[in-house]
Amino acid sequence: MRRLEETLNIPLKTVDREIENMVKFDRDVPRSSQLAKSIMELIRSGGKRVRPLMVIVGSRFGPVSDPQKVWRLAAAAEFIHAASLIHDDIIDDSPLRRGQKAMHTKVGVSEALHIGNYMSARVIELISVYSAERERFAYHLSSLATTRLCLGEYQQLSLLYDYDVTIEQYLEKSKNKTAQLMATCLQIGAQATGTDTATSDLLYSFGEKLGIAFQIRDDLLDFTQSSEKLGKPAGGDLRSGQVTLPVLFALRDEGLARQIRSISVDSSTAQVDEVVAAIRASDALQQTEALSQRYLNEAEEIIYQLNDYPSHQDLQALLDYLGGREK
Amino acid sequence: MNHHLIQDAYRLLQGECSPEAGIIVDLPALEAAPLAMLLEQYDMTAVRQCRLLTIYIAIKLALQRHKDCELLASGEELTRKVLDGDYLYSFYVELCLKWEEYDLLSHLAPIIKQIQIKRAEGRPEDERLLKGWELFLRLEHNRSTASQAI
Repeated sequence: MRRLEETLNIPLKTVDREIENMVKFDRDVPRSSQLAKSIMELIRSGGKRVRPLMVIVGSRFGPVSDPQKVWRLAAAAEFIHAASLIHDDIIDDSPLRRGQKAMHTKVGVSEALHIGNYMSARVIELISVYSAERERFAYHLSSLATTRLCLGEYQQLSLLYDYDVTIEQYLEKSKNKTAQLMATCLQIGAQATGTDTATSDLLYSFGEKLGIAFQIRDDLLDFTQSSEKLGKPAGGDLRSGQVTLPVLFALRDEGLARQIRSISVDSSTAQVDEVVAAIRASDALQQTEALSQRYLNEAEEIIYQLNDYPSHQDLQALLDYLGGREK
Repeated sequence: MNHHLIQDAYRLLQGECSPEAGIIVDLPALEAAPLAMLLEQYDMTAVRQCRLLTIYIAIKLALQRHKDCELLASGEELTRKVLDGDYLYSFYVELCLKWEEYDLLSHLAPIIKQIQIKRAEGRPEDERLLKGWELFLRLEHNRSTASQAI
C-alpha cells in the first residue's frame, strides 16, 4: 500500500528539511545548544507530517505559485503541532513520544516547556518577518494562533469524570483540540496561493469534518486496539477521566451507565478494565463508528463540490488515510 | 504612577479572556507599573495606552504562569499553569491583531522568542521584555516626530 506522501507526491525529506531549517537558520540559537539538539531529535523521531501535507494540498487549489511561502507555512504548521505535543506530554506526564523518551523526561519540565514556547514564538517571528502584506500576515498569524487549541484543552480538563457531558460539548472540544488546526492548514495553504474565498472556505470545512472524524477514530482506537499496540492499557482515556464518544453512547444504556458513572479518580484498574470490556461488548463502538462515518461522508460531499480541481484527488487521499480507510 | 491605567488594563484583559479559560488576571500591580509609567511619557490616546498595557500584562502573566511550573509536580495545578501560559502567549498575538498593533507584534516576536531561549538555557533574561517595549516606543516616537517634521 502506498504511503500518504507518495500518493500526494510530496517528498517528506523536503518537508523535514524545511522544518529543520526553522531552527538551523535561527541566529539566536547556537547549533550545539540543548534547545537545538532537542528540537532536532524531536523532528528526526518521525511523525506523519499530516499538517504540513495538508498545507501543501491546500496550496494546490490556488492559481499562484509561491513554493517558498508554502513550504514555510507547512513547516510552521508542524512546529505549532510539535510544540503542542511537547506541552501535552508534560500535562499528561507521558513518558514516551513516537516511541522515544518524551522531551520533558529528558531535559526536565521547565526546559521542555520553554522549548515548546520557543517553537511557537519562532513561528510568530518568521511569519511576521516574511509576510510583507499586512493582510496575509495577520491572516496567517490569527489562523495559527492556538487559543482555540488551548480552549479545547480547558474544556477537556473541566469535563473530566463528567458523565453528563453532551455529544455537542464533546464535538466542540474535538473541533477546538484537533479539527481547527487541520482545517486551518488546508485553508492557509489555499490562501497562500490566491485561492478564492469560496474554495478556501470549502477546504476549511472539509478539514474540520475530517479532523472531527479523525479525533472520533482516535477515541475509538483507545477501546478497539490491544494494549500492546497502544503501548498503554486499553481504555486509558476513561481511566484518566476523559469521557469520549464511545462512553457517551454507552451511557445511553441504563445498566452500563451505572457501571460507568461509578468510575472515578479512585477506581481500581480491575474496575476500569471491567467497564472497558462492557463498553466493548455493547453497540457503543458501532454507534461511534457510524458518527465518524457521517463526518467522513460529509467531507466526501465537499470533495464532489471541488471536482473541477485536479487536486480534489488529494483530498480523497487525505480522507482515505485519516478516515482509517488506508494505513 | 497612574493606578487607573493599570486597573483599566487589568479589567480589559480579564474581559477579553475567554471565560472558559478561567484565567484570573492576578499579576501584581508592581509588575505592570514600569510599562504604565513608560507609556505615560508618550503622546498617545488613553485607549491605546490601555491596550498596550493590556498586551504587556498578558505577556507578563504568561511568563509568570510558566515560571511557576518549575516547582510543580504533575497534576491539575501544573496542567492549569501550562495551559494558562499557552493561552496567554497565543492571546497576546490575537490582541495585537485585533487592535492592529502589527509593528508591535513584529517587534516583540523575536524578543519573546529570545526570552524563551534564555529560560530554556536556565539563564532567564526576562528584563528583555521591558527593554524591548522601551525601544519600540522610542522608535515609534522618533518615526512620528520625523514624519511630522517632513
